Amino acid sequence: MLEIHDIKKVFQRGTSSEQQALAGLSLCLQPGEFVTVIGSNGAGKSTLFGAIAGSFFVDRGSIRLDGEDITYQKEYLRAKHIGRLFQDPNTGTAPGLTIEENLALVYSKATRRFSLSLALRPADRRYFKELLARLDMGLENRLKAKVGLLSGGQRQALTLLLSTMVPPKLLLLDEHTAALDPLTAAKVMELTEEIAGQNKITTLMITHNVASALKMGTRTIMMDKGQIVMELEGEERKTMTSQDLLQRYRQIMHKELDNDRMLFSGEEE
Amino acid sequence: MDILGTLQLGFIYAILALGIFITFRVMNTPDLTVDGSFTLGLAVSAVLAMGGHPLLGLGAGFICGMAAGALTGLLQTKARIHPLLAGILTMSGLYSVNLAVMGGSPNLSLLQSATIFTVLRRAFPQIPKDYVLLISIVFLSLLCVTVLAWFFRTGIGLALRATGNNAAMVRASSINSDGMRVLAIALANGFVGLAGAVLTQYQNYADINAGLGVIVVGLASVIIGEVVIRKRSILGGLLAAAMGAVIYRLLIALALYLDFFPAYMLRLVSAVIVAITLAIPQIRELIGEARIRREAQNHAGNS
Ligand SMILES: Nc1ncnc2c1ncn2[C@@H]1O[C@H](COP(=O)(O)OP(=O)(O)O)[C@@H](O)[C@H]1O
Ligand SMILES: [Mg+2]
Repeated sequence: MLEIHDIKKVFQRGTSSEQQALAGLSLCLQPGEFVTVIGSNGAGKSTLFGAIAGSFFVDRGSIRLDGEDITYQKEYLRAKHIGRLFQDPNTGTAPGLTIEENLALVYSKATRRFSLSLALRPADRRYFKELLARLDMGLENRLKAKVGLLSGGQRQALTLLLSTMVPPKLLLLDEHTAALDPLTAAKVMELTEEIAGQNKITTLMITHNVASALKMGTRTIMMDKGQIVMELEGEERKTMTSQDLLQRYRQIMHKELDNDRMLFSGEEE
Repeated sequence: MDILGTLQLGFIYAILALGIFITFRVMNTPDLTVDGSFTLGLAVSAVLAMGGHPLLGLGAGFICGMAAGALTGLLQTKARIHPLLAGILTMSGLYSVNLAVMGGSPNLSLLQSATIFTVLRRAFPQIPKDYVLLISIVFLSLLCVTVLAWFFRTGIGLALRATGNNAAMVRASSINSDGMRVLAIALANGFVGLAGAVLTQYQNYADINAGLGVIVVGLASVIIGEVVIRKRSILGGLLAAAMGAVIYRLLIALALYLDFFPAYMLRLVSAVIVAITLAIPQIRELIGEARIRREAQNHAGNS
């Protein structure tokens, strides 16, 4: 589904703050696979997502999605097949538009010709209600509420819905629950698993929570200095605890996982 | 006080206010192209009316305004020039273009030419002249409101509104947000150009400086309208902008009639109205802070 071959990216080349954010990284995802990504701050995880989604072009290497070479495709064109969620719940929705307008924008664009016909039809509204009801946050009764009035968790759940309403080929989740309180985060995680599973969406999820990295999906990769330094799957992954994983990191990297949030969240569960 | 005349002018400026509303409120970026695109619409319309095509003049005023707006939009998105500067560049360049359109003369008289208004008056001889003018102008501006209200509910219209709100979200929906921005600024200036095109045929002359300061008039209209009509739906916003322009004209006419200030103070008064209204949230915050401090001091004094 996704084939990344030896991509490199240097930021601020030629300055004193030159950063090799991606250092020859390769990665393949099978259709429907759910892979979690961990790694300390600055490891290049978000940069990897930026490269896949087209926020910038990589300096070297190639990216193929479902057989199509998208290495130099514009971001908004790739977005047709790639859904992306960020940590900040504000990034994925238009706060000044109502819930139904947000849904209608995405839905009409994806299912009909982008046009001068009405974006929101009565049948759509019924469908939106159904979709929103599945989130179980009471949003199905607030179709005409401005999205800016929703809580962070509600907004992030809505963003998840927007990105998957028409299932994308690839879903990129960049610490999408990190800004939410623990209860809401758990709820959004649950929705994520449900939606990705039901629609068999190929998914890459960055998380700082070692426990959810091991619990969700079928494969975990660890990044450091713009490369993949460890991959876990199968039996070994199933039996691994958060403590084991942190221990393994220490062995490989000869240092502690410097993300203390990650240590805490690892011990918590 | 000439109420009918004031209403006529007010509803012409309502079309201008609709254009300003699109950039200022929908796109969240005030656009300074309008001083130039207003005069462009006016010049094109005057010249075409003089050539015997008054109706074509209105259409051309709209289209030329759109072209000017598109240019500003391209400067903003393709050349990444600051939105305010992009508008100033287009506006400034348009001064020469407008003079060229007017054949190098700073003003033109349409008194010898047919305009849409002379045509309409001849078509309805039994209705008094002032009512023919008022009805046709009101009809035109309400038509503009209706068309825009419909447009903003279409797929493209919704994408425009979302672009002013959160461009990243629009790109994530696989829509070219830069294209949407160019379209929005073009559309806005289309309406501004149309307003100029109507005005010149209404007052039977074109003046190269007619557009000076219309941005402030438009902003004042939008802001006044929002005080009167508080509904924040898109239709509410459009109606508010249009009504705001009419109320603005009435207020100004009243002030002049009562001799509150001489006519040459008009610009200053408009600018002050806009500045104060835009500063209101900040003023409220300062008052709120002062109250908190006072209450805290009282509290400390009591205990
Ligand atoms: N736009 C950018 N410009 C310059 N440097 C960047 C940019 N984005 C990321 N970096 C640098 O690239 C490295 C990787 O960052 P990032 O991918 O955000 O890490 P992670 O998401 O794993 O915490 C960091 O050193 C960061 O400072
Ligand atoms: Mg990151």
